[in-house]
Amino acid sequence: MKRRSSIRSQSSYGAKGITGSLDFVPGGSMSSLLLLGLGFLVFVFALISPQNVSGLRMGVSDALAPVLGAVTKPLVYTSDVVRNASGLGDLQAENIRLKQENLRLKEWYQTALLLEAENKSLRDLLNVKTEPHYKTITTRVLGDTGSAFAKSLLVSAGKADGIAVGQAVMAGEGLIGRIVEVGKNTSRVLLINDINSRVPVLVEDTRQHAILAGQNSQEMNLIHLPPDSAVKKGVRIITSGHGGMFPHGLAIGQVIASDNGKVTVKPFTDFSRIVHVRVLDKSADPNLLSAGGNKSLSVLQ
Amino acid sequence: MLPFSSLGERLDDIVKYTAIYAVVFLMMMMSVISAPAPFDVMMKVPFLTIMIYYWAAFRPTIIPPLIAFLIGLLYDILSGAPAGLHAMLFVLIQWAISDQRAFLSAQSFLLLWLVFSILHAVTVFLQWLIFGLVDINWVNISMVLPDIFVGVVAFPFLFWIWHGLHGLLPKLSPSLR
Repeated sequence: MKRRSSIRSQSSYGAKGITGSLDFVPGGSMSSLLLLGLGFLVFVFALISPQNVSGLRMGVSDALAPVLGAVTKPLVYTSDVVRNASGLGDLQAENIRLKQENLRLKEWYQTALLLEAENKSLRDLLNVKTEPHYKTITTRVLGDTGSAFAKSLLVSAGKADGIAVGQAVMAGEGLIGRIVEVGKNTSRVLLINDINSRVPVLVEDTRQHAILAGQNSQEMNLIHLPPDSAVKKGVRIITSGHGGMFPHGLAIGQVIASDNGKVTVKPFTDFSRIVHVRVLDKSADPNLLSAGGNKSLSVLQ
Repeated sequence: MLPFSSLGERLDDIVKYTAIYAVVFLMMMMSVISAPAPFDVMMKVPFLTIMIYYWAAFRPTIIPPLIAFLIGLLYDILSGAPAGLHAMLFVLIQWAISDQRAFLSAQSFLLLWLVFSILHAVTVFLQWLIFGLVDINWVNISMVLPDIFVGVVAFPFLFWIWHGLHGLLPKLSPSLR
């Protein structure tokens, strides 16, 4: 009851104002109507001509990037402190697990060296053109609205760092998206789980082509698979390289369910926990579209 | 601020108003940053909807329609949402709530919370509808329920932050309102 009166007493000096009138925002309804009209015009303009809004978008993002970084810093610091403090108990178990994994990896390393040598000699024999090695640009995530309606990230690298529209973006173990807007010091990444995202992929064991479609959730669907195709649970999904947007062979995720032609894929990367990303410089690969080539990407925004 | 307030009082008021707008700007930034775990739930908190709702109900001159429009537009620009979408939504919220403030400002906190919950659910549903129309592809409606839930749960905390800051403001300030 005390709280209730407190809210009332506070509202009273806001409600009556100096004139004692309740409607003391001059021309409130008229200005609201005008602004709604203006908002609608901006909305329609942005839909018709997204590339014109893109410059403004990235200009503002560039200008506010230091502020976004400064606001994020205390949260990142606290998060590290919490993780370190709460993780002490798990360290011993983690250490044992890593030692065992290290032993296994050492065996795999020897096998990989053998296979690499064998591959090289066979490639030389057949004169096979190998895929280029990609340079990566590692950058930090600045913004993520966490919206259920669109999945994108703002990262702290732009044209000045060699970022260009269309470049593939990786995090953790797999592909997470592609650059769709570039500013001087910031860029926007459209995540592969966005409802507008379509990625040409391969089912690794059967080499079957399909399209990976985002649905704004952590999981994605494989579409355009032949009706008789049987995709097994646990199979890896990789980029096919078709369309020239992504390099061939980037890991994306694995199949977690396959029922009645509906194939669900779980990405290797948890999109909600991305802190740093790696942007692949595609200029080294002649098979891919040149940077900034696909203008239709901006429509996806 | 009184009509014959001293320079010191005027400066004091300016500092208080600046502090309010600094928090408004901070909330703006909080709504678009990428928060690491365990703070990632913050990314679903509707900081801006709660802020516009509060000031529209208790002191619309702090966030008048034009400021609500600019906040929405800035949010659209930074978040990658279709430009103009949140600008329109925030002007609508500001308009609807400030229009009913004579009623709302005399109600209990629980009723204010209930009104916000309904308003927030309607706002999220409108976004779902508009994003679906833009993409010609609607997200499963069940996926937006967590957004509504987080907003409803976060309301009391943010409400009392704004209420506390509101208490700092002078009761009468014709020059600064």
